[in-house]
This record gives sequence, structure tokens and C-alpha cells, in this order.
Amino acid sequence: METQLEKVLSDIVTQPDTVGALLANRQGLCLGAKGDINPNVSGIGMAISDQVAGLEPRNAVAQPEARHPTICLYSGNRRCVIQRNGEITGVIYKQHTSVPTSD
Amino acid sequence: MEYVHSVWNYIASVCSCLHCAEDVGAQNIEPNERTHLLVDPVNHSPALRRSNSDGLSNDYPTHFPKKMTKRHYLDLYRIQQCLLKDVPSHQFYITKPIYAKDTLQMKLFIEKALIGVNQIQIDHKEAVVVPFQIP
Repeated sequence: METQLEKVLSDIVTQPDTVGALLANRQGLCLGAKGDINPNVSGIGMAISDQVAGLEPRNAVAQPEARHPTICLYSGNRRCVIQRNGEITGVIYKQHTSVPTSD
Repeated sequence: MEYVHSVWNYIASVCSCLHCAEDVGAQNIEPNERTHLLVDPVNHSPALRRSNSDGLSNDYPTHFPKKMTKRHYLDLYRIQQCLLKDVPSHQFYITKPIYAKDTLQMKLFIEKALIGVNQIQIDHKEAVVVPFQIP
């Protein structure tokens, strides 16, 4: 039933520097989690993305992609990336092992 | 502290004098209901006599310095610096940019996950509502 979802989560965790991933629905309930991540943070991740999307409502009208801002929270050598896209919210935990190239 | 108060009062008096001077100038052009009150010599209300700074200095001779010396300007500058010190600057918050790699990874992750979520279907093989067997 949720085989596809499990596969997506497994794939994302195998990528470099990624230690955990989670998916939450609109109510903040966890749809699935893989790796070193607490499924209980699904509600917090959804709430953060919801609040950040309300920061610039004017941009959301002009640019549809602004309705789904990507949030990055730094904590020591780890970072938490959050993004909401309509019904679901994704949370990825990444471990900072090497300096990635930013552009 | 008292000195700071006196400097602050002096600035306030200068501002109010300028404001009053504008009012007087406007009254010369077009008289209004306050015109005769301001020129009335019988009226000694301090609120109305504040139209010129000399009278103000006479009322409170100990509070305002007669001339702004270099030290006064330095004190004013110091007060301004103290007031502005606590205002946060945005430069302290913009420390790390988000990596383009992370944004791309998250975008692909969400797109694949959306497809996966849409594929979820619940097949009801049994009756969802089971009637109670009430005797």
C-alpha cells in the first residue's frame, strides 16, 4: 500500500550526508520516517513550514513557489531542512561531514 | 543623570520653540482665534508665553544651558550612541546561506513523496461497519 512511500524514504536516507527523513500530512501526522529522526517531530515540522509560508503572503500570490519555502535550521554540525508542498511536509536531517559547495 | 535631563529638556524646548515660531508666522498671514490671546498683555499663562525662547529661559534659568558647548554636543552624541546600541542589526542574523544541493534534494524528495502518497489506496475487503448483535 505504502510501498512507494517507503522506497522514497529509503532512497533519501542513502544519499550522502543525509541521516534521517520524515513525511507529515496536513494535520502534522507522520506518514513515514526513516533513519535517525524522531517521528514525533512531524507536527513541529509542519507547524514551522506553515508559519514560514505566512511570512510573505504577497510573494505567494506573485510566485507560486514562494508558497513552499525551504527552511534550513542549523544546529551544531547538523542541519534540518523543511519544505511543505501542498498536502505533505518533508523534513530531512543532514549531518555536516564535509563543506558542500554553495552557489 | 540630572545633567542628562537638563540636556534633554533643552532639546525639547528648542523643538517646541521652532514649532511655535512656525505657528506665529502662520498667524501673521491669516489671523485666527488664538491671535488676540497671544498678544494680550494681561494673559500671563506660561503655556502661551512659551512662544519665545527667552521667556522660557527666564522661567527655568537653572535647567537649560545658555550655549551649546562642545561638551554638550559630545554628551548628546554619547546619549544617541547609548540609545542606538541595543538596536539589532540584520547582519548578525544572516550567517549561513541555504545550500542549493539541499534545496534540490528536498524538491525531488517532496515530488516523489507526493506521487507515493497519491498511490496509497485503501481496499475495503471486509465490512467497515459491523452491526452489534443485540439479543
